[in-house]
Amino acid sequence: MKLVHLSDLHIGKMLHGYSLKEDQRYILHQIVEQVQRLMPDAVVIAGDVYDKSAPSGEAVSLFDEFLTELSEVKPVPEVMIIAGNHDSMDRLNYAGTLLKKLHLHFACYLPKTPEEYLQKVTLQDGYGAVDFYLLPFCKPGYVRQLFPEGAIADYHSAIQAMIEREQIRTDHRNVLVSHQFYTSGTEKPECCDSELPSLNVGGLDNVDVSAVRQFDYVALGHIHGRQRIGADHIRYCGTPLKYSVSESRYQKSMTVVTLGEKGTAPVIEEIPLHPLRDVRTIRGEFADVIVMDRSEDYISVTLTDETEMAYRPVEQLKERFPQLLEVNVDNTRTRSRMQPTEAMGVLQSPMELFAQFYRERHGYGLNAEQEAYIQEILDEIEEEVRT
Amino acid sequence: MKPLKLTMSAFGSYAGVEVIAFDRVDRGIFLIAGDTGAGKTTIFDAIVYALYDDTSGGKRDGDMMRSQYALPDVETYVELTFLCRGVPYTIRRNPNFTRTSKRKDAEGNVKLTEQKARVALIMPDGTEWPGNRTVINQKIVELIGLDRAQFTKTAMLAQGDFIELLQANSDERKKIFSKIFDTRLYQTLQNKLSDRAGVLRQELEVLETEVQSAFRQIEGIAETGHETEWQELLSQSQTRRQELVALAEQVNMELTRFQAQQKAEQARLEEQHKQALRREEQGRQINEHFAALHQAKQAKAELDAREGEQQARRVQINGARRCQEVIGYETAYQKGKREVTSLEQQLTDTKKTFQQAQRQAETAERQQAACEAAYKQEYAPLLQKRNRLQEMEPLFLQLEQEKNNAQAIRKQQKQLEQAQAKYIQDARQLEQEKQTLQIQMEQCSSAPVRQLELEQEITQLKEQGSKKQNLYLKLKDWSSKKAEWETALKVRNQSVEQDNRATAQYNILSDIWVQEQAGILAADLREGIPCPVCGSLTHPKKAACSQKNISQAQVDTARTASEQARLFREKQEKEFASVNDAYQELTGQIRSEGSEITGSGYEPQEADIAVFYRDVREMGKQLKRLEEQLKMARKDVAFYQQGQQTRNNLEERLRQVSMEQDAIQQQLTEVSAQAGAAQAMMASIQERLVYQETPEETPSPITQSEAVQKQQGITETLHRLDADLERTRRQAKECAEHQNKWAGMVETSEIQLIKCRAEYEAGKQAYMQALAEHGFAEEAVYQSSKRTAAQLQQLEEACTAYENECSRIQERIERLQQETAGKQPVDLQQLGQLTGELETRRKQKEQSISRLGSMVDGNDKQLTQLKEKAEAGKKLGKQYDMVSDLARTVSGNLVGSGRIGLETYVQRYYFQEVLQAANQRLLQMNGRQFLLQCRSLDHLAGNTNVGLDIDVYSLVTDSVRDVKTLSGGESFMAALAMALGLSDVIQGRAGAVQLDTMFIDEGFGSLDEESRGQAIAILNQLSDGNRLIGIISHVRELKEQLDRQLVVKRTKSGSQSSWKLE
Repeated sequence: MKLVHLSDLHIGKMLHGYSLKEDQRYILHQIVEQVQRLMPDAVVIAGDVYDKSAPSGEAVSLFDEFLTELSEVKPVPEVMIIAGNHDSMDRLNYAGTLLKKLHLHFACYLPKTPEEYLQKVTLQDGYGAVDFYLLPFCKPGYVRQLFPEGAIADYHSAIQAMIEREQIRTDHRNVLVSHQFYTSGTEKPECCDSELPSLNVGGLDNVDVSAVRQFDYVALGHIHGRQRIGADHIRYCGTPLKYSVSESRYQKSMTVVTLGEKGTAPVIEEIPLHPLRDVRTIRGEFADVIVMDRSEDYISVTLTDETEMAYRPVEQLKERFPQLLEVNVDNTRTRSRMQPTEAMGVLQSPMELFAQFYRERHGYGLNAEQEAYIQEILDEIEEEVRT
Repeated sequence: MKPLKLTMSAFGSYAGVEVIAFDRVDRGIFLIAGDTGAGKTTIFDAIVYALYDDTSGGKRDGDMMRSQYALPDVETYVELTFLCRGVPYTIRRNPNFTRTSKRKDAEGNVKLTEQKARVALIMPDGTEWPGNRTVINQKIVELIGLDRAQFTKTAMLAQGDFIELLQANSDERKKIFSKIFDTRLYQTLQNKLSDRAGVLRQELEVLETEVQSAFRQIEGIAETGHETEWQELLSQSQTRRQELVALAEQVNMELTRFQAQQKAEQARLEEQHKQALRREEQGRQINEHFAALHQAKQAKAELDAREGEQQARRVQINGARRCQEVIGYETAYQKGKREVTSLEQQLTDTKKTFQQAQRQAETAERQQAACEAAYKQEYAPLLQKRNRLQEMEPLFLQLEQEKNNAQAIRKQQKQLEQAQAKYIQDARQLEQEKQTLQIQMEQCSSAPVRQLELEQEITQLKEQGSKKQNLYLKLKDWSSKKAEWETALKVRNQSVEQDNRATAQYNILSDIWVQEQAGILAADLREGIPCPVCGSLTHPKKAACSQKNISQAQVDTARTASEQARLFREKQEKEFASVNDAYQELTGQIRSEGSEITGSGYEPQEADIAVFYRDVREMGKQLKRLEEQLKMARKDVAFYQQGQQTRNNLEERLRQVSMEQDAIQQQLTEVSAQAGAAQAMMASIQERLVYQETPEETPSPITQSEAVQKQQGITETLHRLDADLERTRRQAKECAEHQNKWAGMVETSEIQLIKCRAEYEAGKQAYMQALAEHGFAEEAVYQSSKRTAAQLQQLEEACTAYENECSRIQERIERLQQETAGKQPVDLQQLGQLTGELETRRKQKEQSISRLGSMVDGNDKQLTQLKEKAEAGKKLGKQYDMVSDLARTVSGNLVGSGRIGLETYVQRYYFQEVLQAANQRLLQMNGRQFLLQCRSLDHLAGNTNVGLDIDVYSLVTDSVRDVKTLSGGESFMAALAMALGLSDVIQGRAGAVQLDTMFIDEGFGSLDEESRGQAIAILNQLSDGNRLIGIISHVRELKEQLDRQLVVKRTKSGSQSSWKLE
């Protein structure tokens, strides 16, 4: 059983004000080509299909194109999509029942009554049946009503309870598709800047991997950098494109998982994805940077000139790099400006402050007589305050 | 300050009481979301109003806060429970508002009363903080540590106002910081230094004036001739002070010398003056002696003239002495004469009184006799009459009793008559009711029959109606099916056509193709070679190639087309068949049902649909009417049944009433009999009550009161008779006694008179004898010589005084003559003049000396003072320099360098710290493009009140620009960063103020997506600590991102809020 693991498409996202539509179209097309080449049995998209809960018209058309192309792949794979925290459950679920007939499975809603269960897609291969359990983004408040009072206290207990109530057949191979913030003990997944707005830094929304370890493979979404967490078969596949400057060093890819007989470890392959326009950082002096090759890539420039800057550097750089993301200056001057100065914390006594002040004003310090006089007044003030 | 619970009543857009509990969101971010005007900012307003009696934007007055949706009897108030340094406090505040009064006025209407603004602060232990509104407001400010202006710049960023802290000028920022960082110490230091400098300066001035005045008081300048020199030096007193002092000393010394000279002269004059005085004294004495001698001689001459008087006095004295011997006898004689006359008078009086008493006794006896006679006559008959009256008393009582009895019987009679009348009335009423009931019942007799008829009609109508309804529905169905059938037919026909066409085409093509093949084959045929088809060697008629080039493919295509067409046709045929079946079936049904209804054959028609519809409606209406009528008929039947029952009841009651009437009649006759008996008894008693006054009169009836009165009268008369008798007896006895007494007294008086006469004679004799013994020839001489003792003494004294005077004068004359022997009077005037002159000269000298002395002393004092003051002045001057230098430094008044005071300097210190903390966040939010910095002192342009100005520094271009050049979104970021930085620094310093809550009202809408994401990320980081951050925003992304929301909804009756927590 071969499956392609994707997630966090974030269709419609803007990067520093630039629309990434063309890049996303390009990469989605690339993905479809790869899928055609690999001919997997299933394509799993683990959440965050759109970037906003009310995506723009263009984003919707783009996703429509993508799904249409996928459905024309021969043999047509089963496409399973779950809703992430950025998606609107209602919108993503549009025409879900109809699309089931066309091998597109949308799992956007969590069970609302005790009779409902998670959506399950069962596929067959040479070794038997493989059950795909589709668990959309879940907050404790969404599923509290299914369990007795007080059973669900946080995200971890919610996920755990949701999985336990499914009747999972241990003789089948089981795959879980989920979109949460998973941690393994104290190990946290590596995050980047593009996740910041949605992460709860207090760390209260994490789910420990112990809740999902029994699955043969866990296809995760939510974190934008590809990585494993807790075990080899529990993976985030990452975004298909770089969505922030901090990801410029990552290598984006599709994860292809081959499941063998029950009990064997799945075979993981990473197929690299090459974007239309890369996200890069350039660092150097202005004179060097300005003569680099013209590039359409998304570039973040850090200038290190110590001396006086050229006139209007940003405009000139924009001519070289039309998709300029940002210009930062990093030299001793800015470093010193951004550094917090020491000795701010120490609270000096009024006498010391006064001496310092006097010296600054006059250029010479206080003599003993003046000091004694000021001290006398300070004591008097203190006496008054006390009474 | 962290809110725990907020209660708003009739406040802003909240009509009723709205309670918002913050206990589930005590840290981290939460969002207040809702439509425009729903009441989001009102929540912040309520918090600020509760704390500071003012709203967050400062634009809405407390009095405007009463909700317009509120009912008039609901109060407007805000109650806020909050934690301050870990302990809970509660504030309850209400503005001025009008509400309905709880008491009604005189007419029972409710009025409107005005409720005054009030505030109450409840401490953690439950007690209320005492005081009026101002006191409590102050206490609240003290608790929070910030006043309203500061609070709304640091902890609450109100809509559109956040920019104020950023753009506030130095002054305002100084005020905020001085409160928060407690730099008032420096302000106080500054004030104290200036005060002290001022004091010192004043002292110096005072000292200078004193010195000047001391100089002016130096005297003796003119006397010693240094006038011009002195003036010159005085004009330059500041600089040539030492010379002035030296000159003064010199003057002083000269004066002293002068003074010594004067003293010597004065001693000499003193001596001369003493001598002159002595001479004068002597001369005066001699003149006095001469004057006295002259006086004494004159006195002696006078005395000699008064010798004669002396002699006469001597004679008088002698006579008076003799009289005194005789006086005793004279007095005794006078006394006796007087006694005799008085006794004679007394005797005549006593005799007269005795005669009077006699006469009185006689009258009293006569009266007594008369009284006794009357008494005997009247007593007996009166007694008799009284007894008679007493006998009649019991009869009166009996009469009374009988009267009461008769009254009671009469009352009973009346009651019975009333009862009888009532029963008669009742009977009549019942009869009437019976009649009316009878009439009504006859009206309803026909009801049951009607009911049955109606029921039958209704059922019939219903049947018909349902049948028609079914038919109508079927017709509708039929019409749609007909349309379907027609389309299906068309399609089928089309398909048939197509099929035929395609088949034909195919056949044609196939034929052609076949022919072609034949032609192709034929082309290759040669005579002698066998035909591949039949094997014949001869080919007489070869098939020819047609022109048309038909390929296998085309034929195939045609075939497939024709096959497809055929398939299609078959499908259509099938479909059409099914549709047709259904259609025919339905038509058949309709026909049968229709004929049932109309009675004859029926064909379905479109037009009938409408007709049937109308019919069905008509039937429905008819049905309704019939049902109404049925209801009424049923009612009538019920009524009839009930009526019968009622009639029976009425007859029963009528019978009862008549029975009772009879009983009463009987009772009435009994009572009348009783009344008659009582009346007879009363009459008999009345006859026996008669009375007569005298035996001649006829007895007449008499009432009880008359009897009692008469009885009383008789008793009185009897008493009176008794009393009279007693009185007269007593009087007679008294008069007799009186008469006897006076007789006795007459006798005694006569005896006394005789005795007295004898004594008088004896006395007279003795007096005559004494006169003769002492040499008085007659009584008249004796009388004239009498003198009192005082007069006698006086005469004797005058004699002796005269004699003494004479001897004294003589002595004096002899003495004075001795003294003035051989001397002459002296001339005093001349001597006196001389003495006077000497006196004046001496005095003058003395004066001048003392003046000189005082001048010298005075100068001495001034000189010492001057020396002292010079010393003091020097010291004071030095100190003043130091202090004024410090004061100017501290208040920033130094000329030249930037004018910044100590307090500002210290505040800059803190301010830079705040900006640094702010910059950490700001850089993160705007991607390291710019940061805030404090304007450097070099650029301060000479005002004292700058030092806390903010500039924007761009990292990329290394340029500085004013903070007002920031765009809206950038300003919001900067303000937010500053507020966060400020609260960081305050937390770090553990100052008196705790800023652990922050409220942000809008502003996120002005940020683009990335900046907003960054801002939310930063605020998220803050939730690590104990801080609570509340955000009002309508931005949709925030609603999805933030889990904890307070949703405010606007309804027609005011706003409502509810928590949406995940």
